[in-house]
Amino acid sequence: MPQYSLYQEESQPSPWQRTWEEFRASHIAFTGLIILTLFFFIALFAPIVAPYDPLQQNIDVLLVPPSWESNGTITHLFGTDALGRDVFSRIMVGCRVTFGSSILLVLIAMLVGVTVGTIAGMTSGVRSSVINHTLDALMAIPTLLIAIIIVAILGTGLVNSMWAITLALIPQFIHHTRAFVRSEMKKEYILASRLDGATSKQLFFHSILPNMIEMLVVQGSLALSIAVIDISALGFLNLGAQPPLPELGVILADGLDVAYIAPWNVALPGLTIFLMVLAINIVGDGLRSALRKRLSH
Amino acid sequence: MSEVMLVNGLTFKHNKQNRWLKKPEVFALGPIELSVNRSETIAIIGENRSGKSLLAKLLVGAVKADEGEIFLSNVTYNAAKKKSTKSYNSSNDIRMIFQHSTEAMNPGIPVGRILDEPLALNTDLDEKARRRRIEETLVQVGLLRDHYYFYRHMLSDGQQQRVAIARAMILQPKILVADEPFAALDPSVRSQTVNLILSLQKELGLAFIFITHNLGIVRHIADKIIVMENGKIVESGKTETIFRWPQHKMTKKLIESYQSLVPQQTLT
Repeated sequence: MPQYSLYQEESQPSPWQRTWEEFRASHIAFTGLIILTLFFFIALFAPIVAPYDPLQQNIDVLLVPPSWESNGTITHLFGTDALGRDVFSRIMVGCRVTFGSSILLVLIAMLVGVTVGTIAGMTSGVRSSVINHTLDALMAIPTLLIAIIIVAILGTGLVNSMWAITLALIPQFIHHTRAFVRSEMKKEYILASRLDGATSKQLFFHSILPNMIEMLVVQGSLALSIAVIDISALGFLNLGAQPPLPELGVILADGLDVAYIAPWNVALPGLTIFLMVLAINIVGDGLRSALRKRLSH
Repeated sequence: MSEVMLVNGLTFKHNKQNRWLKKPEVFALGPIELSVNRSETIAIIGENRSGKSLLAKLLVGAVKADEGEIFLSNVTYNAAKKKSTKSYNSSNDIRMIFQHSTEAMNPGIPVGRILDEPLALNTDLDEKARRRRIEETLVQVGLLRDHYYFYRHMLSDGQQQRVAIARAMILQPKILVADEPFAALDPSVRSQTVNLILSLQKELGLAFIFITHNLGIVRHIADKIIVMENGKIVESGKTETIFRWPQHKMTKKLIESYQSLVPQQTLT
């Protein structure tokens, strides 16, 4: 405990405080964070905040244009679709479904991938290289394709498509974790800890994990944007979430039927997906550079 | 003079056809015979690739030997890859300072946690006692209590060296093995570090084995010298004896190259 103060800056900023300061210095990353927070908020509170029931059909207001059009009304901010459902409410709940399930499946994939990758990285020999090269072969196939194959076996549905994308994302996490753990294990501070008598488990949690956060953030944000795109792509292809469920890809596919007379039914959900992926990537990138700067100056 | 460590017929053979090592080469170390007394300073000198660093790693148990025994306070602990030797925790009594103190520090965690690790793993102290011990050790090596919160990138090379020494000292070992501890330091920091180690040695009575190329320091602080060539000890003895009457060709070369510098230094 410091008993006297020698420095002008009295507090010792924790690593998270330092990361936050570095992150805030970048305006683009901060803007991305605001947008992402908005999506988080919507994902959490969509049923409370949404003005209408996303499934309620209203025959009186079919294909009402968005409020900024001359013949649109403010009661339906983003207009209505061919069944008279409020597009704004549908997009809000759609964000909840798409974004929420993406976060969930990335967390699961990360947990499994990092566990297996760490085991593969810390052991050596035949077992480790079998795990690695089998999964390397899998990484050559695009995740969406793997997901489509898995959905073809499991059957359609949101939960099945989530499992499919989780399984398709795991190899990436395993590969990167393994490569990272391997390179880290060769460093001298690991040897120093090992001489202290640390077991492999203690080595991982105490020495490797603090250095792995940067890699996890980069891979996590990449995987999250892939997951958002894949979930909506599967929904769009009618392989994932099924039509009544408001999922962004499904909303997009629904709107496609009336795209010529009501283009907002396609443009607005598409724009939402675009914004979501953009915000995730910007925040991931900003977080990565902030985490790197945290340990460099 | 009580003996704290005895090395008996320690050998290491590197003749496996490892994949990552492109050219198959045979490197054999030893057999090494060595005895270390309490509060004694031993210098290991020799050219590059003579097996000095490997010997240091064998002594602390970072690399397993093929044959031979090391008695540390009359307990065998590193006898040739026997599984049973793991039960004795050697890290309390013998500690190592690595060649590159920068690489030997984890960049992701603060100094406090780096120093906390050996304590948490090897002692029964509770958190408060560990904290007090860490702060005492930091002050002992000439750092401040506030350095508890510092990360690697905030410290200078000399301070990193001090943290490395603190890490080695914190378990109050009997023997300290250092692999070129003074190589990357400028003269003033180097002499500070040397003085620090000498004063710690006086206080705690620990034996200090170090590898160096700097014969000036050797002459200044070492009690005994070991000269190595191609994995073998070619000459060993008291510092003054070696410096005045070197016997082996290798030793003569090293001493002559050092002596040839000395008159020039005294002239200027």
